[in-house]
Amino acid sequence: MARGDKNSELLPGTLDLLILRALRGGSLHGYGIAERLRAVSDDVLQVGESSLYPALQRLLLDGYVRAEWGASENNRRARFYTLTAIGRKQLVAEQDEFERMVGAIRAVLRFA
Amino acid sequence: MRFFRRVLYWLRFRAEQDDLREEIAQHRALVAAEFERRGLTADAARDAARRAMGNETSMREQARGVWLAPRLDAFLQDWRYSWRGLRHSPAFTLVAVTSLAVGIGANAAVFGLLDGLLLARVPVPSASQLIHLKRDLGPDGVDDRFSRSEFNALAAGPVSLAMFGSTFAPVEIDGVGANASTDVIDGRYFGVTGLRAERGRLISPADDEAAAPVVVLTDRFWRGRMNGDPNVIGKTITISGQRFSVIGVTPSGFAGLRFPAFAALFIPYRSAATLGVLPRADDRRQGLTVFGRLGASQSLEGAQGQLRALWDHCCAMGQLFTPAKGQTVVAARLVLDDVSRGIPHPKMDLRGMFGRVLWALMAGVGLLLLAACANVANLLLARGSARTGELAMRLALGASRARLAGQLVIESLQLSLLGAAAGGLLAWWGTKYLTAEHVGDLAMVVQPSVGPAVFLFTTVVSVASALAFGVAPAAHLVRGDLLSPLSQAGRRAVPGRRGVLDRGLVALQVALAVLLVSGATLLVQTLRNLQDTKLGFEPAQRLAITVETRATSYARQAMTAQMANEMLRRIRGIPGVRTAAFASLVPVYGGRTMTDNVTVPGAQAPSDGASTLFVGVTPDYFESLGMPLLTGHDIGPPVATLPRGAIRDVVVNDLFVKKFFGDHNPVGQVFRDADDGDTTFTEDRIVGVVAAAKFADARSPARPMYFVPINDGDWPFLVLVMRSSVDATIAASAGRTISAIAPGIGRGEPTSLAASIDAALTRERIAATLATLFGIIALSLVAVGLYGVMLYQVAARTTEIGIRVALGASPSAVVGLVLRQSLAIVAIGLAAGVPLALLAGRAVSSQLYGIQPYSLSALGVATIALFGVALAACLVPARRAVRIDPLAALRAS
Repeated sequence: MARGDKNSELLPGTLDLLILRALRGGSLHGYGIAERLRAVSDDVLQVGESSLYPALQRLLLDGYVRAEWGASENNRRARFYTLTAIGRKQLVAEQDEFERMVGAIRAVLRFA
Repeated sequence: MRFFRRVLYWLRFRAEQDDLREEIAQHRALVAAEFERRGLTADAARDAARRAMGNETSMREQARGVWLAPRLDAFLQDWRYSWRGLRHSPAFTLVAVTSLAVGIGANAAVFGLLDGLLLARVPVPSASQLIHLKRDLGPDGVDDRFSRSEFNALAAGPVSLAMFGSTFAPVEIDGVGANASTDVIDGRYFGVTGLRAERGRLISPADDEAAAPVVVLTDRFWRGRMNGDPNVIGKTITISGQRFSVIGVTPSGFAGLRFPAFAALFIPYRSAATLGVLPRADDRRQGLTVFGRLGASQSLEGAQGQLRALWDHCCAMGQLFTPAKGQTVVAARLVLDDVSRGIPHPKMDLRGMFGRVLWALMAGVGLLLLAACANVANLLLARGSARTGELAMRLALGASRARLAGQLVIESLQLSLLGAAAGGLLAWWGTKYLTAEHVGDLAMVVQPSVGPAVFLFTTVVSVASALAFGVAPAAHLVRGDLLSPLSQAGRRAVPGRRGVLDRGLVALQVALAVLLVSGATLLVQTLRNLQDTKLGFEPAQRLAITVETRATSYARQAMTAQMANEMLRRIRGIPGVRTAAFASLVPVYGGRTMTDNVTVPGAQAPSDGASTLFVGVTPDYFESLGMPLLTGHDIGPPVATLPRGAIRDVVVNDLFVKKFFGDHNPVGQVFRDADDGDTTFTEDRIVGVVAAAKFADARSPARPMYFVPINDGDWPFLVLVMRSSVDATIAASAGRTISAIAPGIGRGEPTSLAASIDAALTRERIAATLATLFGIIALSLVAVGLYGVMLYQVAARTTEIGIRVALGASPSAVVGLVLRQSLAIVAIGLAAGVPLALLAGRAVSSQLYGIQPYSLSALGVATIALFGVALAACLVPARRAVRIDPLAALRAS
C-alpha cells in the first residue's frame, strides 16, 4: 500500500494528523494543504503529492473530511476539503495520542 | 458507515475517477503557476510541475486502492500473482485447463439433459400445487381417464379441477395440411394452470360454454408451423375440416401438461364435441384426463379425502360412464398424485427409458471429472515441487503459511474457473450435438435446460473440483519442510510421501479408465450387434406414410378397398417407385398391433399360447419390404367385404408354420382365428409362407405371424410402404395421389424405414458414442498423468540412475527401471479397476445385446489399451533416463 511514500519522512500515520490539523482553520484544496504544511513548518515538511492524495482518500473513506468543488482564489475549479464533526473529534484524539508518543520518545531519549 | 461510503464510491466509480484526475490536474497547474512566478517560462514551468508531481498514474492507483477492503486487496494481489504464474507456464495451464474443461463440460452437458428430462417441472406458475386424478382399479391396475359426466360431478366439489383430452387432428393452414396433437380442454383449463397468454388471450369458460370455434396455439407450433406470423391473432385455421379462429399463443416452453409434452393446439371441449373434432364425443365415455390445483391451505391428503367422498358417492360404482365393449365395471378408488413434473404419458415412459441411460452417463462423467481432478492435482504437485524454492523464499521473507496455501488454492480456483468457462462452451456444443437431428428423438422430448440450475451445478462442480484437486497439494506443500531446499539449493527433493500420493492418484485414474473403456467396449459391441442383426426385411430405399382410413367430418368419405387399389395402381406409376403396398403394420416403423387366437382343427393347442400377431396387407407388401416368399404365392387385393362363411387366403411366416404345423407342408392348410373370448371365428387358408422378420425392433426376436387381406373398415389407419428412391418429390406425389382419390383424408409425414431403424437405436448410439468418448478421454488423462509422474520420478532419481550407470547398468536396464515402475502403477490400477468394471457391466447388463456383461474381450481391450498408453507415456521419461550422464548426475549432488 505504502509503495510511494518515499519522499515523506514523516512518522507513519502522522500525515493524516497533519492534514486534519491544517484543515482546522477552514476548507482548503489539495495544493493549499501542501502549501500550508510547508509554510507553517518553515519548509521542513515537504508533503509529496503522491502521498497527499491517497491520504485524503483515506480521510474521505473514514468520514473525517468532506470534499466539495468550489472556486479557487484564481477563480479556477478546485476541490475543497472540510473537516467533519467526527474528523474534529479524531483530530483531538490523534493529537493526544501523538503528544503521548512524542513524550514517550523524548523520555527514552533523555533517560535511556 | 465506512461500508456505506465504500459502496457509494464503487457505485459512482467513474465520477470519482474523473474528480481525482481533475483535482490532480488543478494541483499541477497551481504548482506550474508557482514555478512561473519564480521566473520560469510557461513551458519550462509546466515541465517542472510535471516532474515535481511524480507518477500520477501510480498516485491515482494508490488513491483508488484506499477504497478496497484490506482482505479483498490481499485477495486481488494473490489473484494477480497466480494469474501471472499461470500465464508464465502455458503448457501446464493448457493441460490442466483442458483436463478440467472436458470433465466439467461433460458434467454440465449431461446434467443439463438430466435436468431437462427428470427434474424439469411443467412450465406453469407454482407447478408444485398441481394434482392429477387416477382411478385405482385394484387388480386391474390404475387408469387416469374419466368421463365428462364424472368430471362434472367432481368439479362441483371444493377442489379446483380442470380437464383435457388429447387427439391427433388433421390441421390445414393456408392450404397445407398435416396432423397436429390437439388438446381438447374445458373452460377452466388455463385458469387452473395459471398461464397467461404470450399473445392474444387464452380460452375462457365462456368460450367453452358457447362452443366457440376458437383455438390457442403453443409457441412452438406458432413459430414452427406459422413462421411466427405476427398477425396470427384472428387468423382462421382448419381443424378436422372445421374453421377455428386463432385467439392466442401460450408462453414459450408450454406444450400441455403431459410429459413428454407435445400438444400443439388447444380447443374448447364443447366446440370439439359439436364440430366433430373429437370423434364419438359422449359425456359418458372415459377418455379425459383430470387435473387440479391445490389451494394455498389445501394438502394433497385433505383434497384426496374430499374428492374421494364425492367420488364414492357419485361415480365409484361406474354410475357415470358407459363401459366400452367387453369391459366390466369394477369399483374404483380415487387417487390423487403430485404432477409438478408433468402427467406421465400412458404409453411412453420416457423418464424410465432415457433416465437410466442418463444416470449411467452422469456416473460416467462424474468419474471422468474425478480422473481429471486427480490429474490436475498431480500436475499441481509436480509444479509445487518445482516451486519449493520459491515458496521457501516467500516464507522466509515473512509470508504466512496460510497466505501461501491460500494463494495455491486461488491458483486452483483460477484453473477450475478457466476450466468451467471452456467446459461451458464444450457443454453447449455437446448438448447441441446430443439433441441434434441425427441422434434421434431425444431432441423432441428433452429440452436441455440451460437455466440457473445448470449454471449453479457447473459453478458448484468447478469450485468443488478446485477444492478436490487444489487443497491436498497445497496443504502437502505448505505443511512440508519448506526451508531445507534453501540450504541445499539446486538439489532435487527426495520423493517421499509425494511419490506415494501422486502414484496413487495415477493408479486411481487407471482404475477409472478400465471401468470406462470396458464399459465402452460393451456398449459399442452392443450397438454393432444390433446394427448387424438380421431384420428379415430390407430397410434401405423404403418410404412409409401413415394414412387415415375412416370418415370424419373433414374427410367425408372413408377410404374403401376400391380406393386403396386405385391409389396403389397410380402410385406404382410414379417414376422411381418400384412397388407399393398398404398394411396395418410395417416393421420397426410401426402401425397397429393386433392379435387373435389361432387354432388348428385337429391339432393340440400350443403350450405357449394361441395369441398370434396378424397384419392386414395388400399384394406386393412382401416385395415392397424385401421379405422373401418361401413357398406359395402372395396375398389377394383388398375387397370391400369378405363373403359370409368364405375362407380367407392368408400368408404366414415360417415361425408360424413351425409353431402350429411343425414339419408339415402348410400350403393349403386351414386354421381358425378368433378374438379373445369370442366364440365366432374366421377360417383362413394358407396360400404362402414368408421368412420371419423382426417387427418391433432389432433387439426383440421375430415372432410367429400371419398376414390377412384388407377389408373395408378393418383398420383405422394404414401405412403406405413404397420401394422407391428416398426422395421428397416421390413422397409428395404419392401424397397428392392419395388426396386426389380420397379428398381430406389425413396422412402423416413420409419417413424412410432406414431412418426409423436408426431412430430405434438412438439410445444405444448415444450410449456407445459417449462411452467411447469418455473412454478415450480417460485414457488420455491416464497418459498425461503417467507421463508427469514418470518424468518427475526420473528427475528425482537422477543420482541413483547415475550411480547405476556408473556401475555398469546398460541402457536397456535403465529403460526397464522406468518401465517397471510405470507398469506397476498400471497393474495396481487394473487390479482395482477390473472388479469395478465387472460390477458396472452387471449394472448395464439389461442394455446389452449379443455380449455378456462379464466379457473377457471388453476387459482385454481395456487392459491392452492401458498397457499401450503406459508404454507410450513412458517413452519420453525413459529416453531422458537413458541420457542421464553419470558424471554430471554425481557431480550435481
